[in-house]
Amino acid sequence: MLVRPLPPSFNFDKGILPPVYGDHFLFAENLSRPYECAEHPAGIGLLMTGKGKCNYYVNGAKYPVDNNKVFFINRGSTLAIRATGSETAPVLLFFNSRLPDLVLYSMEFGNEVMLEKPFDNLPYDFSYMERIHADDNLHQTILSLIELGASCSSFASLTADMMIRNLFEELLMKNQDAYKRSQNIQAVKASTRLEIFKRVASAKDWMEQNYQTDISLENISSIAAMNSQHFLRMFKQVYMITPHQYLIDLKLKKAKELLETTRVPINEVCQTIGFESVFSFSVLFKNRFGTAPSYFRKGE
Amino acid sequence: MAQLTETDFSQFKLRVNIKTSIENAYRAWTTAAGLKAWFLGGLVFADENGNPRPDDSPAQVNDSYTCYSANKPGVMLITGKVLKVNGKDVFSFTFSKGCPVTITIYSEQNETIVELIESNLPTDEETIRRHYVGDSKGWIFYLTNLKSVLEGGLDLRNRNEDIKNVITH
Repeated sequence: MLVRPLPPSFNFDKGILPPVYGDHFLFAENLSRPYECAEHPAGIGLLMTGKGKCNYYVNGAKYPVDNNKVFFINRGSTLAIRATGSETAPVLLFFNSRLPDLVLYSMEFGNEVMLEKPFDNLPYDFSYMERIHADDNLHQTILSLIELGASCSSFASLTADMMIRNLFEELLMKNQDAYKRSQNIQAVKASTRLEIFKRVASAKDWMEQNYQTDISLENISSIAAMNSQHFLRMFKQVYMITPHQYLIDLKLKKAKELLETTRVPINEVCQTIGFESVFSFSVLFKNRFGTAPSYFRKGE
Repeated sequence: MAQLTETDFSQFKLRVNIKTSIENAYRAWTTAAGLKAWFLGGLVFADENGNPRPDDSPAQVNDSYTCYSANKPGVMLITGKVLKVNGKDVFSFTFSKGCPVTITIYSEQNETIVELIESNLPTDEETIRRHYVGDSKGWIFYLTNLKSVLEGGLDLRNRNEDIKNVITH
């Protein structure tokens, strides 16, 4: 992996073409000035910001990225960048263009087949991942790569490459899962399935970020820009569960984590995850994990 | 004065002298238990069928190896393959970019020399910067740690997770 400041002039209008990377390439810079990069074909990668807000324009659509958000960009998509704030830090991680195919190929076929059937470019579709992902772990991992790029640690470069590969394997597994789930959507056109999946998945990400607040079906469906009844049907088709059941499960998992890792009193755990009644929380917790919260904490 | 020659960036050689036996040095390289004591972190050798070898069993040709971070045991750092073992003083394996690293152990002036050669490195600018420079820096620390561990038992690796960006990590 190589870490570089943002390129000063990757601009088609000026006749300067974006470089072709044979290796993982991480652009990261703390900006004290506005930054713009004209539309150009991008490699497969991740776009985020270390601080402030950065606007990425992918295939003409605007994606404002801030906090813990990461945009996964597909190869062949066009990218333009605009960061107008004075305190922004755009971060762009482009993968070796052959890596996705190599990783997927090895995940699917294993070493023996790889030796018998040498790798050739395969038409894998990464469009299911091309959207904003609200993922704090992913965000932190990319930030730690910047640190590693400037580190004098022994084998830092090697470690960074392995981290990128692991990160990529995880993303590609999610892509495969997304593809399989999208096939459950009852729509004739593949492009419709893709669009519905992306909207439903964005709403699911949003629920994961906001599970502790008072969320209604209308709130969630508005994130997906869908009518609430249509969203409910689509969510069930994709995840085989209703948004309400999914939300309850999220809350209970978080409660379990808090009970395992902290000494926070049960009524506070209940409040933290957004339950009003300790009684109903206890009943649901027992149904889900087989034991009441108080016994769970005691390890009984 | 020796005449300066152009640097060959396709390989590098490092030597370290250690007051130990050739057998000890060989064991430190070819067993998971030996490597865990001084190298990156946890290490597992597995045979061709993927079965892990016991920690004290020497690696065999065509074994694969997986090295894990010392501070984060679930994080894989590098994987590779054993290319050559001779049971006494030569051990070769693939390392970064799949390039071979060959360890040769021999006596010199009543001490044991561990000689490491990483070869077949591509010579484009990026590879030189990342692998020729990066790998040789990494090996210098770990060979120093090998000497320290085999001679006196002092392990120089950083175990404090909160300290980063140090050569001992």
